[in-house]
Amino acid sequence: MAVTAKKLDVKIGDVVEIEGRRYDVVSDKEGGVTLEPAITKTVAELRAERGCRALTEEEFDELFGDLPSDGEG
Amino acid sequence: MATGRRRPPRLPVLISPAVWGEEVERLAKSSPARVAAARERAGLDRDEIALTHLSRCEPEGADGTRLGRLVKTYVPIDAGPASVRPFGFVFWPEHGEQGACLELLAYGERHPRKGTRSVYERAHERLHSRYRIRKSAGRRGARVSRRASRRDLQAACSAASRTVAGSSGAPAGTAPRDEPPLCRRTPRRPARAAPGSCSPCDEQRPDHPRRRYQT
Repeated sequence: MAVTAKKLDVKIGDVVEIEGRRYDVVSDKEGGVTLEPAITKTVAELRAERGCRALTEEEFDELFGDLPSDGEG
Repeated sequence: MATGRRRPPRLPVLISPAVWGEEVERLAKSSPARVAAARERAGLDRDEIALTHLSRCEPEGADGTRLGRLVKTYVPIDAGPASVRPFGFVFWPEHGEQGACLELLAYGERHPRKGTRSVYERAHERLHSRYRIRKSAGRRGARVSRRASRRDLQAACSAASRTVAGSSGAPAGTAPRDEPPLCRRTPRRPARAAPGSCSPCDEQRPDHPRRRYQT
């Protein structure tokens, strides 16, 4: 039996929901797109939930200023 | 002589159930990535994380991510070489009720196969929300364009060298011996690498995780 493809009008950055689960439409880095489980919780939301604040630049430098970085990301 | 500790040797790690669900529980239960994360979770909850296991993320990564003022650790968290620690946690440092702590932002493969976001891309998206990587990719495109312009300039310089060489009787394609080359590459300053991090040469090895996990 021939399978009929469902055409989706989506682009990279969109979120789609399939059977109650949300997915991000992301680049497959080969000219196409692929679906990945969605990232929905942002840092701003996490911060608001916990009542935490970002470290100041001085605090960050004091704690992590001597840490190495690897140029990876 | 009293010596005050300048910084705490370990930091507590906060892990939101929602973030753990989106970052770790999205993976198949028996996948190496999920098993490795679950193994480290107990240690993070119990013993916190040593600063010596952390390194800073890049303010502007080669993949267009912008993770300035974030820190990361390779997984498994140990002193082994980076090439045998294919996963990573990315943390957001913050100030909570008990002082400084780290909030888990992302977990995943450091160098995944095409079609899967790296842990850095996941952290970028959680930090900046959507669409930003595409804008950064535009800047990367500009860098590529600048590189192309540099190549054009070098090609023009070597063409000029050949002309000069030809007029002085030297073999074509070589510059006259006593004259400085018309075009010289500026030596690059070597990047500061974390202890145990992998070099581009490591990635050529058949057992490098990027190659191993592509299958």
